Order: sequence, then structure tokens, then C-alpha cells
Amino acid sequence: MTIDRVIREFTGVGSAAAFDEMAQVALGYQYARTAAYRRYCDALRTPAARRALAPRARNAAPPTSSRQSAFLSPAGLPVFLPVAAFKQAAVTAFPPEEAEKIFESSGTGSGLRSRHYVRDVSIYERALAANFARAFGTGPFLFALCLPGYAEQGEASSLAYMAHFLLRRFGAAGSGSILGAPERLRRLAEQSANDNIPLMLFGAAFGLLDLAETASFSLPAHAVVVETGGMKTRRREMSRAELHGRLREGFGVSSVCSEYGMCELLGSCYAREGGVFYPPPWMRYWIVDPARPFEPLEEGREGALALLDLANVHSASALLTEDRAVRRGDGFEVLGRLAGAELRGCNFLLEDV
Amino acid sequence: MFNLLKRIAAVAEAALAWRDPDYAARANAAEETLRARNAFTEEAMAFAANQQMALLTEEALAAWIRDRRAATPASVGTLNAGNVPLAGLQDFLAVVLTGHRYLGTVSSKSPALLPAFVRDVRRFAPDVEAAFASLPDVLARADALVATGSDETIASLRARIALPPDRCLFRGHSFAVAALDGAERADAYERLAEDMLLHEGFGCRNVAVLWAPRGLSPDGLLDALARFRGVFPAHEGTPGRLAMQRALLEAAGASHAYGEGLEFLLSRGEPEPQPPGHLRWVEYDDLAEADAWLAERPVQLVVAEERVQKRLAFEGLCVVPGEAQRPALAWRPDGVDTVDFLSALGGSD
Repeated sequence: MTIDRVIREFTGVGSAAAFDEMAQVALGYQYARTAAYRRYCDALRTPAARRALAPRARNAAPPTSSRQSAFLSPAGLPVFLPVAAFKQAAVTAFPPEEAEKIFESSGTGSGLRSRHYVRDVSIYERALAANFARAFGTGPFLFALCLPGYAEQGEASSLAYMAHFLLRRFGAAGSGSILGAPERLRRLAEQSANDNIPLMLFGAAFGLLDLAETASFSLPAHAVVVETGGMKTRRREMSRAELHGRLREGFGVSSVCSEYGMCELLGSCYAREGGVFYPPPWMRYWIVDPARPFEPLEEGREGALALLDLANVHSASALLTEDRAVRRGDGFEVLGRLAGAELRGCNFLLEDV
Repeated sequence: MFNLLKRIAAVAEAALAWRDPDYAARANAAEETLRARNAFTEEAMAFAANQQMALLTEEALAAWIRDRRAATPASVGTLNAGNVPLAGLQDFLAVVLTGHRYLGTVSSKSPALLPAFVRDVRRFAPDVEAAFASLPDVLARADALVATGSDETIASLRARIALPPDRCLFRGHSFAVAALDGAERADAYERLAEDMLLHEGFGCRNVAVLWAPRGLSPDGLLDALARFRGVFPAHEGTPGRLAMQRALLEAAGASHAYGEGLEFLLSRGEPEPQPPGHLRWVEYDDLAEADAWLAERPVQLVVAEERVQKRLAFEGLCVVPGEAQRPALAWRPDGVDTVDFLSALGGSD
């Protein structure tokens, strides 16, 4: 297996064994080429780090072993690079100036923006198209995009890029943005009903919420509403269940779908309903202890969401997110931001709330 | 109407007993606390208990409360953090000494210290109404609330409670900042080390970001941090947390230094607070840069020598090195006087 073959075939990966083989090749390639990832892995192998990370529980695995791949823990998990690395370094397996595109995070939180240098946008587009088709079919759909903030970020927003790409790929004539023009959503809803083309309302969570609260809509029965971008509204944070409840009511639909993605990740996950995300075959996820992410937490325990995404082939595939999540069967539910648990100050525990 | 002087005497009497590390109630609570899942060490816990109990004299308590008391008692819910030992003690005292009923949560991180002290106060003053309950119970029964948390936790609370805003005291997350001018002596660094590393950096009064004139060597501070760890050993979980932080700095090629056993970590870079125990060293050309930054951040207090304080425009709490972990009885978290808030509350009965 070569890295070129991984790039060509990752969206068609058909078995766990094939995924494992591709992951091994991708991680090896990144360890060799992505300096930031290699430095991270190597720093965890120093004697001081190995002592510091030595397991306190008798049956826990040590963090990494000097006798095996630098990018794998003895428990078989990849060494996950914290997504914060994208704020501090060019996480690339190639010279950054050769990037076809640079995606930036929206800059919420600390203020520093993550930058993801994308060597080959066609890899991203293949992953987007294949994942969307798996979740919703190939359409066509009448897309109604609602991306306040992200649209203003323009080309640097991976979310805006994704939405416009999906519109071009799966959109029927008449699809477009409804930003600042709620009456356009009504017209698209009418067109959808008349032409029997499913309506796909795709938008940032807070944008959809604003829309649902400024007017009421009754979308056609086959309409699909997909929210993304987290649960932080411009006014306050809310639970996903509360958000979906308001969106269902506001748009007159029976369910709301979610998309999970970030600029550091070229893959994404969809939740058809209920907020449980299922990764595509070229992604795998684990719930891990954020302080010791070298082995998975047992089922039912909350932890940090860690992902391995083969689409991230030219940056870093194994990422430790800052999202708090829990396993739900074969999928995962995102419960909020992990950072809150480590904030200074007299925070009461998330477990208590 | 309750007798304030009797309550003050009861608190002072309990505190007097608690000044003895071998006092059974304190020793048992400390032992139980060390078994909980937290970042407490025996040394840091003893420091916090000794420091806070020493403040609770009858004179000091009377001077703090003065004549501020509630016209009618309310059930005041307080959500106790448990991130540092005895967090929530000031809230408990403020509630019962202004005449309210206390209803607190117990953090799983610190399940024993505050409840044990409250039990002792009630032993000396049985009329003090104080109880601990689960979070849902506290939220259901309280008719006023004191809580601290991240945006996420406060948002979650706001959605769950039906209390009007003027009956809730919410405090945001915060941290402390230090400012140097380069003329600090070795003993100032020693005291700064305590401000930074005590409680493994988890307190809202822990210094997380340090502004230093460009070109100043951090060696003096690093020596002091290492010496501090000789007296206050790191919690066993601290090196593990810092190992990943250090690896991330390596990944980014960022300048940093650390203790031999990863008991502390100092990095040079942008003025962004890092996870607890990881200190950020920020260089300035003009101290006004620090001032501009301070104005935009949730800073609990600034640690600086008096001559540096005079050069800062920061209007919040400023203390000299070594005072960050020794809060006065009357200190006002987030600049809000808890006793003022509580004494202005009307009751619901």
C-alpha cells in the first residue's frame, strides 16, 4: 500500500482491516513529512514525558513505546495531535506555500485562528461528496444556504466552501443563499413542493435559529434541515436538543439533522436525527481521556473526541478535538466544549451541571 | 432575628480548632479529600486551610460584615467549585453571617473540607441553617443563587432556573496576571512561584500569564519555580498534563522551559492563558501593551510590585507578589461584594 493509493481509494475503503492498513500508511507518511506531527510524537517519547505519562492504573497501557511506531500507542491508538496545533504551526506534509487553499477557523474562543493548509482540494471535495451522498443520497436538492458570519469569512471558511460545493454538486436549479432574504426560503419551499424536489435547508445553527425566530415557516414534508457550526448562538449557548426543538417548531419539520466538522478536519460526520453522529468509513473515532489519550475510555464515559480522518492525508489524520463527547452505539454525541472543564476560576464541574 | 455576634463567635471558634492540622475533623476531611479525584496535594491543602482559618477571628469577621444583614432570610443556593481546597468558604460565611439559610452543593473534587467545617460551625451555633444537597435539589429549593462557571455552565444554569436576575450572582471564569519590570529581586520570584503554581494552577487567583520586558531572562523565575516544587511537590497528575502541553509546544516550535520532571512549564508566546500549570511568558516593549490586553480579558487580579502597579492603568484588584493565594476575608471575586449582594436580598418566607 502506498500513500498515493490511500489518496485514490480512501473513500472506497470497505473493511476495518483495509482502514487499518490505510491508516498505518497515512500516519507513517505524516510522521515522516509533517514536521509538527513528528515533533509532537517525538516529544511524547522523551524519558521525562514517558515518566510523566506512565499509567497509574495497573492495567493501563503506557503512552508510547520505544519499540514500536512513534505514532501508535501500545493500545494501538494513533498519537492524536491536539487541534490547537493548527493555531500554532503549519501542520503540513508539504511546503505550506504550495497549498491550493488555506482554511481558517472562525476565531471563536481564544481569538487565535486555526489554519489548515490544503494541498489538494479535490481530496476534500471527494470526501464531501461521498459523505453527503451516503447520508442523504445524490439528490438533486433545492439548497437553501443560511451561513451568516461564515459567508463573510469568504473563501477561508471551510464550512462556506463545503456548502457551496455541495450546492454545485447536488443542487437543483434555483438553489442559493437565503441570507437576509427569508422570503426566498418561502419561494424555495413552494418550488420544492411544486417540482417535487426535496428542499435542503443547510445552515449555521445560530443563523437558522435567528431565521426561525423572525418568521414561521412550514417547509414541505420531505424538506431536510441540516444545522452545523456548534450550538453557540450569538446570544448564548444552548443544548442541541433545545436547538433542534426550536428549529423543528420554527420550520415545521419533524426532525433536524446535524453536521459535525471543523476547519482542521477535511472529513465530516452527519447525524440524521437525535444528535448522534456516524463517521463515514474513512473516519474512525474514539472517546479518550483528554489528559491521557492513549487508550479509549470505556463505553458510556464522557471524554474528548479523537478522530482519525484519512482525508487529512497531507496534514495530520489523527486529531484530538476540544469537544466533549460520549459513545452512543456506533456513533457519538457531542456534549459541548471540553475547554470548560479546564478553565481556571471557581468553575463547578461539568459533571455537576 | 439571629444574633450576629454569636454566629461570628461560632465561626471563630470553629476556625480556631481548624488551625490545628491534627484536629480530627480537619484531618479526617483532608484525608477524604486526598482520596477524591482532584489535583490537590497534602501540602497545598494544608496551606489553604491554615491561611483561611487564620483570617477568621471575631474582630476580622465583624469588621467584614459590619451592619450588613438581610431584612428577611432567604434560602441561598451556592454551587461550590471544588477546584481549590475550601473553595466556597467565603460564600458560606457571607450567607450565614448576613442571616440567610445556606444550601450548597458538594463538589466531587472536594467532597469533605467545606462540609466538615460547616458541621463544626453548626456545632457551635445550632441555629445556623446550613445544608448540602444535590444540584437539582439546590436549584429547586433556592430562592437566590451564587454560582461561578464557564459560559457554558452559566448558560446551562440560566436555562434551568426560574430565579429573577437580581437574585442570582453569577461569576465568570477568570485568571490572574503578573507584570514585571525587570527589577524584581529573587525573593519576588519566589513569591511569584507560589502565585503561579499553588493548587496546580487551577484557582481563579493563579497567575497564568506573565508580562515581562522584552529581553528579560526568565532564569530567575525558573529557578524559583524549581525551588517552589521542592517545598510544594506537584500533584501526580500534573506532569502528565504538562507532557502533552510540552509536546504541543514542540510541535509548534515554540520557545519553552520546564522542570526536570515536568512539574511546571513556561512558554514564550502570545498573551493567551494556557491550561492550568502551564505559564505563558509574554514580552512587551511598552507596559501599555499589557494594559490594553488586560482591559479585554476576564482578569481576577494583577500581581506586580507596587512600582509596577503605579504604571498600570488596570482598575481591578492589584496585589504584590506572594499575595495571590492569600485572599483577604473581604476580597471581592470579579469585583463584586458578595456580602453587599446578600444583604440586599429580600427573603421569600
